Amino acid sequence: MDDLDPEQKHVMELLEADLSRIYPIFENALALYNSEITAKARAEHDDTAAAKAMHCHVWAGFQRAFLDEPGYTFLEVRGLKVLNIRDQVVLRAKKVDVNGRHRNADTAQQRAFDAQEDIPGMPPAATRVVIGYQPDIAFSEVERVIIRRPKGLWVSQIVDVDEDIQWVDITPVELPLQSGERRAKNI
Amino acid sequence: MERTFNRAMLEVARAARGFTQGDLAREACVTQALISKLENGLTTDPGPETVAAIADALGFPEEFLYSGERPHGLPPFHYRKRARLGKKALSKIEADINIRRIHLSKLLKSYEPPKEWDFPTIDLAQHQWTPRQAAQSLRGHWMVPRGPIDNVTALAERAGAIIIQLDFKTPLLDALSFRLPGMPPLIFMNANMPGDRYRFTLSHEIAHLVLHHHPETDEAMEEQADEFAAEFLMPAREVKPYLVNPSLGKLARIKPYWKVSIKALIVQCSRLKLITPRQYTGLNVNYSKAGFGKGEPHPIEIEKSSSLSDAISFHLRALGYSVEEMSRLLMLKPEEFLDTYTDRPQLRIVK
Repeated sequence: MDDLDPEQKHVMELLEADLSRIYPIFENALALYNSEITAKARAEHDDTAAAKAMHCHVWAGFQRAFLDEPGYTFLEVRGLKVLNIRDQVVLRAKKVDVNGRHRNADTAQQRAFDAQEDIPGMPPAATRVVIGYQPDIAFSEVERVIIRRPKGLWVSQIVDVDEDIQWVDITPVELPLQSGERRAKNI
Repeated sequence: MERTFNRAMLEVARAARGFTQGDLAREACVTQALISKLENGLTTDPGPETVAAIADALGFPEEFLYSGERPHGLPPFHYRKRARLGKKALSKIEADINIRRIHLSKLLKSYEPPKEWDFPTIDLAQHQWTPRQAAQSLRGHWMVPRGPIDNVTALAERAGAIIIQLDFKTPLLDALSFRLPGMPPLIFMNANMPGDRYRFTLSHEIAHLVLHHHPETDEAMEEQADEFAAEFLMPAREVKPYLVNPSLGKLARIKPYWKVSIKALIVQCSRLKLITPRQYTGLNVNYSKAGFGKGEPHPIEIEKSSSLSDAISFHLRALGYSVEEMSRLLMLKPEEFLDTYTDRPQLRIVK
């Protein structure tokens, strides 16, 4: 763990105590989607509608878990729903693919979020991270939950080890060079 | 009254228990030669003590071996994957089906199943119809509402079919169906399969009962039955909007609504020419890669038939039969009657 990115270490230490509450939110949300939304409605959903519905359930799950928690603030900045944790981490939930990346076309605000830029209404010093869930191809189960620093700097996976929710670093040794920052770091 | 030993029923009982002649001889403490001669009719009067020993070894009451019933052979068609089924497995299935059919014929003497429609036959050649048109016609005849069929089992039972779910103990045979004089259409379903496959198989068997009154080539009949079943469960006009630009993820979302397997949806996409052969191959490759061949996501619950259980309940409740009387009627030991026909948890002997 010594060679961890200091930012990753800081963010994950901050979240560590809450991982056991965060992890089931995704499975519960998917179970809710598959059981409470009628089969006919789901059959008429496209991938976007399914992901959007799932996102709503995930966000409701976060609110149920952390709404009254000191240090946790739910923000909605021009439609972007994020969770501010002690002004140190701002977290948004996304569906991700097998490579841990989200696929839809981002808005300028979302790009700014990923680039850690200042966004009015969000704490400027907080690290912006994505908490991503990767469903299976059939949208029947959550295959993994990751916490990822956008732009590929580091990735943590939340894992259930005998009902003990932990996190592990899964940052690839060689990530595709996506930014000058990454390139500089690797060099 | 003198009772006559029924060698055919000995064979049925032995096959039902999965015994070889040697197994039975050992269990009953008689020679295999005796069993062989009994079954071949070379010894016709084995004597009461021998019959008692054989019946005891088989776990049937002696009346079973003295009954005047005549087992039926199975029709030479309607088998799926028959070629790979071993003789012993097939004999057991045949015996189990004969026993249930005998039970049913006894039960139907006092019980008339409720019936809303008839179970028609359709001559494709006479009407110049395709199996798809026949399926549409049957949906109309049975007044099936637009969209997916909620419960195929209940629908067929309301048309007078008797559906019996059995554990065939093999995945190689899904179902068998036939019409016998004086009896409703009979469909024997392997209860060990996913619910979506069960529904398709049942629709496939309905197709055989409706379309195939004269044996044709096995392949042609199977193809027609599959085409019929696909249209019966997923009428082209209604399912098409759901199948445009299909991906595996999309088909998985559609599955719980239409209650058919993802595989059946892929085939239907191809049958309705909504995808190219290349796309068809691609979807099948992705299907295998995702591991769906070993078990699909979004499982569909298997439908429960009520034909036999309703007949049993009628005898027990309305006619006041006791368990002992039911067991005598059906030529079973009371324990086996309770295990087979009631919800009592099954007990197994631990050796």
